[in-house]
Amino acid sequence: MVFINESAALNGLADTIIKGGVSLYNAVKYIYSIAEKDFYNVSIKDAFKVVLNNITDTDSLQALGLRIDDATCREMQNDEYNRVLPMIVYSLAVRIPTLKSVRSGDDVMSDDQLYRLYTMVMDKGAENYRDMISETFLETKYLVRKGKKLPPFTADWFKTYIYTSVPSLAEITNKNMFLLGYSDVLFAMFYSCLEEELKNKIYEYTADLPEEEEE
Amino acid sequence: MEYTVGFAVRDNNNFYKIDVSKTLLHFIEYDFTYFWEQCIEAGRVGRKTGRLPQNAVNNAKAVISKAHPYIEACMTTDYSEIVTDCIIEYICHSERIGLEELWARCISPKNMYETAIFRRISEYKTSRAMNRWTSIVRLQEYSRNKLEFIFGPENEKTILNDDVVRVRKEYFDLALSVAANELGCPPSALPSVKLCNPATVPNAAFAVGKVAKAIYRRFSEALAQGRDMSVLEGRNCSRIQDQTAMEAYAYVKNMTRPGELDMKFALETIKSNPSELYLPDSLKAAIDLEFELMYKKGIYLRKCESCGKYFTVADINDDNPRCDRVNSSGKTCRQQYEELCESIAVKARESAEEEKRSSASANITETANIAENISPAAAVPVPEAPKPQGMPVPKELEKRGQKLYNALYKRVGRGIDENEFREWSQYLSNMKKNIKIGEATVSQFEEFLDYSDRLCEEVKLAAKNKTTHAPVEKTYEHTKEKEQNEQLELSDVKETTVIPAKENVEVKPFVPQTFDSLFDAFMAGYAKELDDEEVAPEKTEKKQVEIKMPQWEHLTREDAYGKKDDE
Repeated sequence: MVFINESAALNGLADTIIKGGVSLYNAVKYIYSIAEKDFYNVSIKDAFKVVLNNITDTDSLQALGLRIDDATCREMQNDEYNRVLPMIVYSLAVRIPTLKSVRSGDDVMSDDQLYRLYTMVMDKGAENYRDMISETFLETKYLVRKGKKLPPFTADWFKTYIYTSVPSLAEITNKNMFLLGYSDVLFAMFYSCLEEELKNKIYEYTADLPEEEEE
Repeated sequence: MEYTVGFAVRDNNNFYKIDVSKTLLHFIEYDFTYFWEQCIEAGRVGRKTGRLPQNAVNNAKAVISKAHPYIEACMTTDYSEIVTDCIIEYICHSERIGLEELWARCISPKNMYETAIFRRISEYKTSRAMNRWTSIVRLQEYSRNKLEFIFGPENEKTILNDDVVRVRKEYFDLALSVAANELGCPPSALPSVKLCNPATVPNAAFAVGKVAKAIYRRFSEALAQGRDMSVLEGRNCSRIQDQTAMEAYAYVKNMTRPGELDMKFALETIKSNPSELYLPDSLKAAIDLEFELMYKKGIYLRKCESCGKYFTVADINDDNPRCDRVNSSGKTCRQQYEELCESIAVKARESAEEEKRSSASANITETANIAENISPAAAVPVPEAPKPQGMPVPKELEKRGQKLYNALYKRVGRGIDENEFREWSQYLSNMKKNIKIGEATVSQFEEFLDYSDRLCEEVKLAAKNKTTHAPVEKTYEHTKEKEQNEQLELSDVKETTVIPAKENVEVKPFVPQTFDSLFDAFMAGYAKELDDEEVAPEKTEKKQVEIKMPQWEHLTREDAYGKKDDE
């Protein structure tokens, strides 16, 4: 794909993925804090709307009066849980080959461009800790090339990691059960919005808006 | 009767005063129109530039803080976002949308203006705040209703006394309690007032800072080693209050009386503070407190029979229920009434004397003596002037007036100065009111509008040339004078209509603009554009976009959740 400035475009896309990862990571924490004392004050539907409309704004949920600190999400303030952030970014990075489907006219991103983007994201701190995420960049690339359907983006690896590595969140409590419930929905919806965001970014960098959006 | 009490509020180290009954009457009669206009203007600028103009916001806040001392006290806390509240209310009202829709429009804010709106509505949604502007308007109505309920002259046979006032007041309050109870509202959610003194208010250590510092110096060592008693926010400590208090007291329990010098110093500070302080937790609580204190101190209000406004009465048995407000004639209602009675008495005396001279009848002499010695109101029946028949202002004239108002309002500061505009708009509003009560005729109103048309033309011309408009002959006033002369000839007693002086202008309570239909709402905004068309037709299109096409993008479900939602 021909970008106006290729390195700037790849950097911008990598930034969007990283910011998206941080945003999802923070969103999980912010929503978890609802269970502390705002269960009947903050609607989770509103929280989802705010997050999904501000994919790259990492602290958009502060508008709903939510905050992340020891008082509201003590269980997440530990080193084990902190490893979730690079894992989230990794889980998004391995899906970079799906950007092959974004067309600017007849142009698509080349394998080389996709790999460089993947490398950039990995260099910025993505990590598959203890190989919790079974997907890989090559597998996704293969599925995309063959035109096969990708498995949905879920929070399965996240829940497995919590059960096995974060005892404070693995305990059966009201708050933790709430976390396991909303994370499934949040991960799936967040990913589809991030895909849209990346698509728009690509159009922006090629200065080629798709016809349907011009209307 | 003057009675003042002090009060304090949370998060503010100052003490404030309530002039019992005067503060209430001031709040009830406060005109919020200017505040509302300032906010709308700030909103317009905010929409154009992406941020609210700080000057306009500060001006608007200064205006509304004068409505009630409680609002002034909480201006930096609870009421700090009142301008945004008013703008939100205006947008929802004028565009006929709900808060939810406005929130969704601003969910991805593009500038500080949208961020402010989004954050504020988020606060409403999460019960961290409420729309303070609508709350003030509703509380003004609440206090007006409560006042009417307690002191309203519905049954002339009822003599107002402590029992009657108490029963009415408690009945009114009880009605609210019953409604709240039946709706399942917890008692702690309703406003309340605490009685404290400056040393026991929640922020006493800062409010009486000088003395508090001296005390701290005495116990600083012990306190530095004390247990940290700060509790997690949100933890309910209401059941262990005594325990908490005694734990704190343990650190100062061995306190002896300080030296004479220290005592003198403390006395100077403490003496300047009120000995009793109320702590209302909301504006409603402050209003209710005033009603309560009025009852306790036997302060009664009555409706003035001349102007219809409430006023504090010095003597409940006074048979002349008229207030001491200066009205449009430049005199107080009371003075006006007394002068009227006086002139009637003089007339009666003169006619009696005349009759006495002609017939020398003993009976007539007696009547004249009575008229001379007894109160004129009681002795001589006041001849009732035929009540003028009021009529509604014709719609076409109403629209014409509105159009002129819009045209002139737009040019304030450019062709017409603010004072002149205010004078003019006050005259317009008085004229309409007078037609409704039958004190002015439609033809007089038309004359005024004709004059206003000419004035508007001059103003437009002046605005274009960036000068001040040429003087326009006030033909309507001449007509009025002529009529007044005619009326004076007919009757010496009849009152003359005087153009209200600026400082005596009657202020009507604020009523938000309402529209019967979407078309009316559209026309209210469109009238301004029509007016612009006459001067600069090329600007019309631009203006229409500004008003009718908001800058926000409409959010659809697909936008919110992505197109692959179902996949």
